[in-house]
Amino acid sequence: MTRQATGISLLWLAAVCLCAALALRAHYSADLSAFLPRAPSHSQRLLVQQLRDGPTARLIMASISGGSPDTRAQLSRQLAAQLARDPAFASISNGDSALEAADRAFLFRHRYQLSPQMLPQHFSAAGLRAALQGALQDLAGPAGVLMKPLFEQDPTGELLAILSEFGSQPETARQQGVWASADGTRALLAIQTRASGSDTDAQEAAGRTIRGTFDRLAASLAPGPHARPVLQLGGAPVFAVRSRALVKEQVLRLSMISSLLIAGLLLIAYRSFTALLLGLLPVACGALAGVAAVACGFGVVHGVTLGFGVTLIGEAVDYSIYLFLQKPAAFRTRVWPTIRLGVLTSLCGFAALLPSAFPGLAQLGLYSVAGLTAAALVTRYVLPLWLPQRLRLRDLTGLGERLARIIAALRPARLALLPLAVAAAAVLWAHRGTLWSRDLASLSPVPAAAQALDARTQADLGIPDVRYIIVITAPGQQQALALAQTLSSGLQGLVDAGALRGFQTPSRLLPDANTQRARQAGIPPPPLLRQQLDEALAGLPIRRGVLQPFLSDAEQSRALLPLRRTDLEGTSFAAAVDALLFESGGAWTALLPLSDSVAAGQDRGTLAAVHALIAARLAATRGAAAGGDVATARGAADIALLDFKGESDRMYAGYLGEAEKLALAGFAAIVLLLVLTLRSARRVFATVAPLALSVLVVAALLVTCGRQLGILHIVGMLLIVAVGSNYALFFDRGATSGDGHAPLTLASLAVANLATVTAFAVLACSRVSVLSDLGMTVAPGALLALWFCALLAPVKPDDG
Amino acid sequence: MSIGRQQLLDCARAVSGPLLSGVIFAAGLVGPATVAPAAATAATAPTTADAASPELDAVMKLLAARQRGHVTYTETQELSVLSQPLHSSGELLYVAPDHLEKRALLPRAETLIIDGDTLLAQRGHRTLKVPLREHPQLAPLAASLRATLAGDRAALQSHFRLQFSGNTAAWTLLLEPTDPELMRQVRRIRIEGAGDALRSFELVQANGDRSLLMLGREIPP
Repeated sequence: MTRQATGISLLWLAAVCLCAALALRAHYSADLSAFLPRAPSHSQRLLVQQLRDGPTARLIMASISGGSPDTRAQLSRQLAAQLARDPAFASISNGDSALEAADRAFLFRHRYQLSPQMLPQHFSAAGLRAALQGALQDLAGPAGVLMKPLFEQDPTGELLAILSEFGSQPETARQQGVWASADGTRALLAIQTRASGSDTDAQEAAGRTIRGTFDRLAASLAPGPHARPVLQLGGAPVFAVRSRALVKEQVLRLSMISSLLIAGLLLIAYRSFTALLLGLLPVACGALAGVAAVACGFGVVHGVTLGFGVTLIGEAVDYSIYLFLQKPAAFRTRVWPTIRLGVLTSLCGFAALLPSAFPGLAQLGLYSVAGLTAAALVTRYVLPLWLPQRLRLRDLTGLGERLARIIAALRPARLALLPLAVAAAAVLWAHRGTLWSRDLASLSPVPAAAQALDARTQADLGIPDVRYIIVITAPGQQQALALAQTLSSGLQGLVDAGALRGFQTPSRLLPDANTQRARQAGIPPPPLLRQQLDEALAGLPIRRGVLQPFLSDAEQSRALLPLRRTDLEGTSFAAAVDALLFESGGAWTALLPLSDSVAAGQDRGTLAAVHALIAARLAATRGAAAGGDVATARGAADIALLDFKGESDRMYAGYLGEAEKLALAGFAAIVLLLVLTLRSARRVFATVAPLALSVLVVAALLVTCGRQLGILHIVGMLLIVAVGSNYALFFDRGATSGDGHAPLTLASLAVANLATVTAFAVLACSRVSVLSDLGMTVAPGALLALWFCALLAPVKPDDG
Repeated sequence: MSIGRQQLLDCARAVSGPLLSGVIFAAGLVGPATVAPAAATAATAPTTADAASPELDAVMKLLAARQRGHVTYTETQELSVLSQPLHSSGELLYVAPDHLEKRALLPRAETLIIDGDTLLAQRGHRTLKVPLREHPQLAPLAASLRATLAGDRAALQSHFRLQFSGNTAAWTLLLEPTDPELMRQVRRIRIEGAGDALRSFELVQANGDRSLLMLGREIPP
């Protein structure tokens, strides 16, 4: 070896070690954050925060099927009891009526702190009289019996006032006293974890605990005539865990399968193990460099990036194929310049993805840029040093000649490509209304069937899809609650006016301390209350002394301390309030989901009214802050109406628009590069036309097969151009260098193309939709690109 | 997307449960009635239903055949906490097999509906809707009341001891709960009828509170 060769080898070794170290130390993640934007707008940040850390992200839905209804109910109760002891779980709800007594007692005991009717004049003589007259009318009416059992303690109907604010409820079926699916075949539980939804490890552990506990309980059952009970888990955290496992498994499996297939292909092509191993070396180096670059550039490597990286195998292996199959001796002078240009065009394509706000795409871009550069450099500078002098490869000249004959025979058919282009364009035009997918869910790696099952369980549990949520952020819990309380009175006005069906707020079960104190202050001291009650009772047909329990309850309520969150412990309200009121990053968030009546979008007036309420409240808050009010001046409180569906649609549309722009930019960069190097409009056209045609035909094929085009399809089209340009350039070289399409060039292109198509076809079989979208676009596209290049390539002047 | 709303809703449900037992009485007892022309009351010795009673069977058959009833009512309630009885009036509507509406017009417009397994209370545009089946303690009661309306004697007997007197032209059915859960709420129910029409419903609760519902003329559809 020469000194220079030794130097290069050492340099290579050092680079490999460095990359390996970086790759080993990198942090790998497989959660859904690859699908969420990097630099979101304010409302997108709220949306993403809800998707990652909101209560739904921590809600595991468990369903027990099999066994008898009794067995299922027993398991549901035992499971709930055992999990309740585990600090990993914030709450377990299974509809068990045992909690009802505690809930009821709580509401009743604190009714004078919770009732919205407790306004200052409520317990004056006139106020009491009006309330009692109302109560008598209630008693006489058909719903009067609702009041009767409580009349002596609660004659003014505070409990009903609290309850009526909850409005009508979607129902959850019950079987043997616990929640069950509507068809009565499954028992249902809603389990809230303490760990945040983005903590996938903790969620995985929680899932394991639930399954383990269930298995132990089910194993201890006496065998019966029924099928063994089975537990199924669903909900966002379960999906996060499942998609991580899926991505992990798929990436491993797909890399393995495509490596094996390509190795097999190369072995057939080379008939040499040495060549095979050497040929895979640039691929391995490229993958390593790609991971290292992503680890440096992003700090975290997404599993799905590695999945995309499978495609690199198909591309990087091409370079060594060209090296081995096209006369290694002439490699540096004849083949390398073409490869170099091909690498550059591919880099243009991938580099266009770098600025994407979609972390998955940006990482794919960086991974591929680094990987292809490394693979090309290794092929050019390292591989030739190590090529054995007597590398015996299968002679593929025969294959090349056969291909040349086929191409020559098919060339007259090239005229048919014009109608083909027109037909493809017509297909796309015909589908122009439904061409693009508009749904963020299309990016989710969770299979549609699992999503559907989950939707069913959610409906069975009576958990509605909420579209509009008012998000309140404030520096303190009390401030958030106070804002929620003021907004609630406005919203209740909309409900009373019939404009809004209903809404939820944490301030119903946990009003801010000031509101509670004000309500308590509305209860006069005992002698005064007794006097005012006597006054109020004059002439009413209520027996003397009957309301003594009311007087003593009212007196006791005056002395109650304001409720705090911890006072809700032991009732099902604790979980309810935690779902709507939580601290994250030092700030408190209160959520007020609006019922779905406005979701239909028909009621713009209601939405406008809600916006006006929010604006008024914000103005008041800011005014107070400007006026030097210490409580509000300390930190900015904020209120926003979040449109979940609208916001996620906008987010996806943003991605889609961005992907379109990036793809066009990449395409433009490739054309520019070709113009600069080829310096001939005719040659550039001959290079670009077959690629554009491939993209057109593939898009038409996808649409014809019923696919809606999404982000990954667009990226796939860019890759068709990036990969296909290599083929086009070889045909261009063949046409301009005067030696025509040398059989060995054709053979190497065929093998390289087969390798690429194989890698992407494997990807197309993935169960992760983003990977399969990419694969099913590029696999046929690369194949078509080669053939279109062959058919459309200019031939030597004496040929034509 | 859904935000832990279930818990909130569930608690509302939990709290309203026991209160509803009363509602179901009120709504459930109204019956599928039209008033038949007053028939001659031929007092006969009370028969317990445990003995074979062809007359009871005949009445049950008549009730079962009814598909619809829409009548006016007046109700008088005597409650221990009040010094005077409460009066109210309105309309009752029954559509076989399980739709029941009590629409009060006085003292205040208010409607209570039991439809299948759902209970609805409406006043103004506020509606409280609660599934009946979530309260297993009420299930036997609701089922037995429906059984009266549907003329299902076997179902009635699983919760009440029946005493029948009179004949199909003018009959009285006395129900006394045998179910301990029911016994804590109901002392007895007395239903008077003529043919397939009910004339009155009297409910005496365990605490002595009494409500008497008199069914008036039929409202033509």
